[in-house]
Amino acid sequence: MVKMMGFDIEKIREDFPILARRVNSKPLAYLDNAATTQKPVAVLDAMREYYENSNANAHRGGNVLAEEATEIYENARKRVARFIGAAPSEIVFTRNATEALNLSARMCVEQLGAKRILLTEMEHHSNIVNWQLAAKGKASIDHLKMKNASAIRKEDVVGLNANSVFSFTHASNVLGTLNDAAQLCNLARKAGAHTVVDGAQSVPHLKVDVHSMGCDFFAFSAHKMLGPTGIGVLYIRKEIAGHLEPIFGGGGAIESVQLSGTTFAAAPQKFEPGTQDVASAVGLAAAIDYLEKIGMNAIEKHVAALHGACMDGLKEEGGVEIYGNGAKTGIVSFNVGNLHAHDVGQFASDGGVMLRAGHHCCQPLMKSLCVPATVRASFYIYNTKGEVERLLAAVKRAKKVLA
Amino acid sequence: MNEDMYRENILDHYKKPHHQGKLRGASCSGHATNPFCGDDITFYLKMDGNNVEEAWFDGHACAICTASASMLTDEVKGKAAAKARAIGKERVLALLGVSPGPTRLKCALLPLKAFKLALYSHLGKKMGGKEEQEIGEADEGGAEEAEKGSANGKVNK
Repeated sequence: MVKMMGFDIEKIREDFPILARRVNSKPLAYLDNAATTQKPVAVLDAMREYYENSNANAHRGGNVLAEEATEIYENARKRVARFIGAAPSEIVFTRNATEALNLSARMCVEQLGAKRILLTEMEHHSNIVNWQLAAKGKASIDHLKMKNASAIRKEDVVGLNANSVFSFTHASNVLGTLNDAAQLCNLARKAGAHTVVDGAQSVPHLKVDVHSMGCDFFAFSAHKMLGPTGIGVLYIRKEIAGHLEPIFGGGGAIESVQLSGTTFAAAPQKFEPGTQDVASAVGLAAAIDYLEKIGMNAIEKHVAALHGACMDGLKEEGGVEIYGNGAKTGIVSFNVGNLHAHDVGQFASDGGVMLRAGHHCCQPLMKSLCVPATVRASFYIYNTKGEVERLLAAVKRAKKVLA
Repeated sequence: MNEDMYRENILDHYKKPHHQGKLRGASCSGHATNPFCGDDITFYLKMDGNNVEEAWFDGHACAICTASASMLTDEVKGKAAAKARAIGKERVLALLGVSPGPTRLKCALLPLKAFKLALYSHLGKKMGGKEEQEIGEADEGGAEEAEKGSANGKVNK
């Protein structure tokens, strides 16, 4: 495939060494990007460069190298902040979006006095289990029902008040469906409720601005947007961050420590105890540079085109049930007749096409859809229409053999 | 692991499973799920003393799991409990005639787990502590099965 939607797909693919490998003697077609994305050389180089030239313990000691590492780490934070429209002091580095969501849940229940937690049926387990753990004996949890796999409707969001927190996913990792986060946060804010938004599936695909969204907490992971595993981001709105105490304590997060008690550092340092993963922060910053060089709008268009081709192909194939609408996030979740998702996934895998078949860490959503599992294809910047064709061929083959 | 996994014998059992459905008058049942993919199998046994008179399965599962369950119902039918209990992973894979990778291996073995849970629940009702321990060490999968059973209060007291 040559140029598509104004960017050079072949050149982009060359930036991802893994795309040159073969799986089951077939060229790799990686269509599991909602699970994790591949890494461009620019990201790998940036991390290597940091370790080879500047590695030291950030925010520790005044030696030249430590100061350099600190500057590099804080520059990465600034880069992340700029990318999502936040102030650097509002960006807390975590291990991943899951950890960010766990911290949010505990802060909301333990420190912001949340007595009622409102979630939705389309949440990933990482935004269900965290609340169950945090709420134990302290708060109640309600779930908004899904209707026809559509986005959360504002008229369904009721009963919020100053003692509640509303947490929802910006985009569903199964359905791809995008929620109107700004509208929902506005609604919650008017009721005096706090908001926690899971941005793991939206940030890789859309220009997100947390300030105009108006959320209190926002979480995402680097590895779903070309960055390394092991680092995620928790945005905490600064008006709140000032009042919050850290969940974990340790070195580097303090102003002063006496045996009788501790005065914490200012945000975000107080939320980052212990030696930080500077190299991964550098990798994330490099990933953002890479994405912005291509342009988020161009990425959105490219992914939407692949999504459209996949939807058209599956509809043409017939007998395929498709769940949700992932045009903006490049996600197509489907089932082929009565075939089990695993079997369809197997045929794809045999053809070198990497899909995900299963419940996608969304068992309540599966229950709501009345299916045990779905097959999911998820596209990103390096995917091609040729790969969509190969996916469709695998579906055809599975039908032929198994039906 | 490749499409060869969908061999004719597997496809035959998948398309026309033997003994599929709920078994009326079952003496015992065992339920096993694979949270990874949502496979869900219940095994029903009708026991005649210590012999497996009938074995049926129900649930929803992929082709490999369905075929494995179907073959297992044939395999255990008419067997003495002690013999049926000795069936392990190798036998199931031999019946299927494939060697699946780690993910699909779980699909292939899920019916065996459901079957063993059913059998242990039956045996558990009338067996003493010494024999219970034997079940726990019945075979490589058996220990785990027995533990699962004990979690349900079916084997160990």
